Amino acid sequence: MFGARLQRPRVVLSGLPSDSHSWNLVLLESILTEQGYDVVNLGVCVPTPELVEQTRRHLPCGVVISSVNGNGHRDGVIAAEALRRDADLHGHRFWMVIGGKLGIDGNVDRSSLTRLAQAGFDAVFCDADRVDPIADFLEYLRSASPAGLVA
Amino acid sequence: MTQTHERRDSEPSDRRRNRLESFVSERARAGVLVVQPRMGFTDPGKMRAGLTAVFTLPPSTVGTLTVDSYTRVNDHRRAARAISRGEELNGYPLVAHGASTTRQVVEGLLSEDFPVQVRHGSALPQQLVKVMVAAGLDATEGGPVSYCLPYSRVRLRDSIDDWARTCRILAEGERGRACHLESFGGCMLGQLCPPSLLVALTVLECLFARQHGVRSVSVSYAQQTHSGQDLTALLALRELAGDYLSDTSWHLVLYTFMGLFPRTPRGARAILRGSARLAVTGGADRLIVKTTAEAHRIPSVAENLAALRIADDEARKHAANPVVLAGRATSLADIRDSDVYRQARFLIDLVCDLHADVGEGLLRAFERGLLDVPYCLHPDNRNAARCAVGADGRLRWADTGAIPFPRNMVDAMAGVGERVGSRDLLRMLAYNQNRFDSPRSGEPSVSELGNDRSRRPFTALY
Repeated sequence: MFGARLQRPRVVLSGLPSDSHSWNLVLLESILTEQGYDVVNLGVCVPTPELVEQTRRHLPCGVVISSVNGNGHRDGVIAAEALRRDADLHGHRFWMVIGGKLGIDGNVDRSSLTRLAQAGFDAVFCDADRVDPIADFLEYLRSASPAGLVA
Repeated sequence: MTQTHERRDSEPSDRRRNRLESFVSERARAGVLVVQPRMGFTDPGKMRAGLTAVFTLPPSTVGTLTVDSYTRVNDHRRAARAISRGEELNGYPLVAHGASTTRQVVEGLLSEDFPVQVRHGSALPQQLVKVMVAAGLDATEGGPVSYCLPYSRVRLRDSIDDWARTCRILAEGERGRACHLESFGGCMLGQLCPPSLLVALTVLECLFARQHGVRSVSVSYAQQTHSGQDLTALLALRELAGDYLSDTSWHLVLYTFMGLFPRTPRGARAILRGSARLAVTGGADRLIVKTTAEAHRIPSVAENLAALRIADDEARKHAANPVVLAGRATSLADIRDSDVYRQARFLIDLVCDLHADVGEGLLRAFERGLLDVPYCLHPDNRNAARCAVGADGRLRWADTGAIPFPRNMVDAMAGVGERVGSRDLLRMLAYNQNRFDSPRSGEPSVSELGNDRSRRPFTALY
């Protein structure tokens, strides 16, 4: 419609419960905003119930989890399962990805990647199996975006 | 080298002196910089071995028990589960292990010749500090602002309340021995914060601790992007601590850069050595080091020992250089006219004037956006203020938000509200990483070592 404001697609961006790092979230918010998204940044140390509650509230097209303290391979599974199993979200379609430093040694093994996928993540962006995770994430966004709505 | 500042003694004579305070004070008198790592292992045996290794080093070192992130958020059940499964957490789960086990970890090591400090990052540390004190430990760090806003979801009011109770536990002491609190206010998010705000916050946190009975404190400052600017900030901090904490025993701590760290071993060592020199010239008493592993993983004991040796070596070399004292004297002459001193003093007085209770003053200041930490996502931080790295590498206010600085106190460029895109933000975040990792002739770069990751713009994120 001429003159009408196009609604920016909304994403929920969040850290995991035990992770207090925030520059990753600040930077991702900046990147996502430039990509045309309306970002709801939940910040650091987000308890799983809070993540679920905010996702119900905002009904985003996607959820981005970023974790860099090494607990992500464990805590990410819990977050994903909670979101995928939530009765109130069953009728809402959304993609869900996780990225960052997901294991203590800076690596995450194959079985962890499998568990994350089984828990409900549509993609995992960490350097275990990717040369440039952020570039891959941007590529994913381009394919995941609802057509015509990205600014 | 600064003298550790003694309070006019009003303490009962049978009260034993804090180990960290006494150790630092003696080393300061001898002109020696105390160096300290960050270190935390899940297994008590491994933790003890790490402490022993640090203790055994020739340099004047302080031991550290860094707590894991489940413990930090008071999820002691998760921590206990990890212990029982033999999983490695990212630190020592002090509460889950308990006082008795922790006492055994430091048995025979902890003394006035080897203080041990608990580092934790918790916004609600009361339980942790109780266990710490029961274990016979007498030094910790943090603060109601520095461990709440950057690193937690806890509401500032709740953190202030908990820290007030925590300070009173520290003030009571450990079996008649005074406990020490180091403010983490000199770090906050670790980068992109104007030095004057860091200086103000660390002094304010020590005022808070003092109000609640703590008589042994340290103020902190984290190395940033420009050594001249950092030197001025350190000297200004020393002056202000002297002004505001004169009835308290205090000393000055410098942190090696806490932001996105150089990825190459050469770059990491260079920034570490720079921090050792800065500590010496700026009169810091204690330096918390970073290692060559910082950008990649939690450091091994060996990596920590190497960093401690490098820092100590550089500090000794630099302290022997007569130019150092001359440089410090020149800077000191004008310190009270510097922007960082004037801005910091303005902010400290602003908060103290808001309310007689420092905690209440801090709460009101943040509520109104009178204090505002750039880029801090916490719901109780306004997040309107912005900081940028200038062309010369100095940090400057890019937007002062609602902070009511008088017109002549901040560079004219501030307050314009410049928009910073993600590429600029990343460039500023990666400033030190790029500066110290950039290849020089004859020295291997990261790409020559077969890893081209430093060339890709966003890999700096992790």
